[in-house]
Amino acid sequence: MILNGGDQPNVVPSEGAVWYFFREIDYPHIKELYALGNTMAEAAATMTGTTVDHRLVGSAWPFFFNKVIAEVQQKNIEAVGVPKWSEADQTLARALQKEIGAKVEGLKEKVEPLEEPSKEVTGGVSDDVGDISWNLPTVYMFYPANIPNLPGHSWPNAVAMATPIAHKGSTAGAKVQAMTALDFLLRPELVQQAWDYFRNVQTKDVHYESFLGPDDRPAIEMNKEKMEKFVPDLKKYYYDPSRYKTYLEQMGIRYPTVKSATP
Amino acid sequence: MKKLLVLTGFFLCGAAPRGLPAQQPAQLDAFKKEAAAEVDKLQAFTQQIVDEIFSFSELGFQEFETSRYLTGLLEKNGFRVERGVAGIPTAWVATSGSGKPVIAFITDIDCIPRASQKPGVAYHDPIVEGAPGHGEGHNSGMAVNLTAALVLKRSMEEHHLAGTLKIFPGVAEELLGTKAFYVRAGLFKDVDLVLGVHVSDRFATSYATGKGNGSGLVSVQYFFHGRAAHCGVRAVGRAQCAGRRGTDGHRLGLSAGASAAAAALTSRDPQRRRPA
Repeated sequence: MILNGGDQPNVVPSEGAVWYFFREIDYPHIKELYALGNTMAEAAATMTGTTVDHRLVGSAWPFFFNKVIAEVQQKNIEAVGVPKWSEADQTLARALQKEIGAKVEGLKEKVEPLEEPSKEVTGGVSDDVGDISWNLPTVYMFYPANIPNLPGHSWPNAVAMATPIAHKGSTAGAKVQAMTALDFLLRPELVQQAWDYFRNVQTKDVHYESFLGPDDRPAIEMNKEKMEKFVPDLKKYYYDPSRYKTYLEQMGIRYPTVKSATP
Repeated sequence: MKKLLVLTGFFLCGAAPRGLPAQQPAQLDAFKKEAAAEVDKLQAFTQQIVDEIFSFSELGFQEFETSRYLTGLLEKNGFRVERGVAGIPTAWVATSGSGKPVIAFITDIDCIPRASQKPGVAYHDPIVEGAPGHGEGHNSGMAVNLTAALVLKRSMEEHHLAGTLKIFPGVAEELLGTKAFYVRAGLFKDVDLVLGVHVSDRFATSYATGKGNGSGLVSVQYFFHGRAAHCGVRAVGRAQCAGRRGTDGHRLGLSAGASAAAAALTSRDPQRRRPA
């Protein structure tokens, strides 16, 4: 991504900046890409008679979750089950899927079986919970509060997120979260088993080293300007639960609002 | 503390038949049923958190309203809150209870640029044009964790269960910006396990690498410094490309720093980039 590419074509700028993600499936390869990127930047600076410095603004180990916790959690997911979706929920889901050209299949009605790890890691999403997961037994529970087949990281993924779909999904998630914590509070041997897996399986051959250098600091100034630009407008729409039962009610949105009747 | 925990476990197992290993304390199922029923009673509380954070729509590192709101709720409900942890103004830790085990809940709270959208509307209709929005659903995770934490806190107090609950926000997850710093600051040193939650369209959990569809990364910004000039006077950098073959057989490419210099000195060369 070009962070700073100048102002106009006939003015060669004195400053320029680019932003890269160096993504790979394990720590050594990520480090290798990072080093390669630094070498290229230095070489480019030499070639063009400029100087260069860089800043690490984010990092993530590939995540690795704990089998003992996941197995306990799976039982609770199965006990709680997927929320009962209303016809309105399904109508919204199908209409959105249709609108964006995704497979029209509404909301999921069954829980997933415990995911077995595949033998081959093919690469995909990153989450900085990865760093935590290599320091102590960790899991991520996925709770059903959104619509399937959406592109991710964009407006369609926001559509359901202040509707009964998100509300019911969050309630279901909270049940599993509380139940799983109770399992570990009342069965201390499970805590021990989780650590046994962490020590003897997960970290048997892989040891955590942070991507952070001693001088790296959190990039806390990021998004400041972007956010300040919109806060005055967004403030007008902050939810006031003392006046409205739901945000949909406050916004005067009929649920669901769809372009035309969907089958 | 360990002793206390064992004793508690023993006490709870008192009703189990003699001679059997302490696999399943008799009260466990009852406590879980009770917790689920209590979560149901908090549906309005859960809904309000979902809706409130949705309306704040704050980007990574700027989750000020969100964090103020959540820490306020937690303090009101008897949690101890430490703010500004790991040198991050919008990060915090909320704690309740004491002793082992220490169970941490974590979930992200930041949103996505340009994803503003009216909820419940099945076509693009932003609340504020061009504004950030919860286009990944990170507004719901804290509703899950706070609801569960409140119920657990009551349950632990009522049933005299030893243990500590900690709640962490995933600040700036969309930038992969904080959790390595949390680790470096030692925030998980005394924690026994982490139960993280993330919004999805599925109800699922996994272990190890899951379906093998994860990756890691470093996110790096390069800043080039030179002299300003009239176009055509200075030499123009050229975009070049380099790539390497990943262990998985996928070609993981990165465009070279030369294109960075091109960006530094001219903005004319299109950056050739391959998605990793």
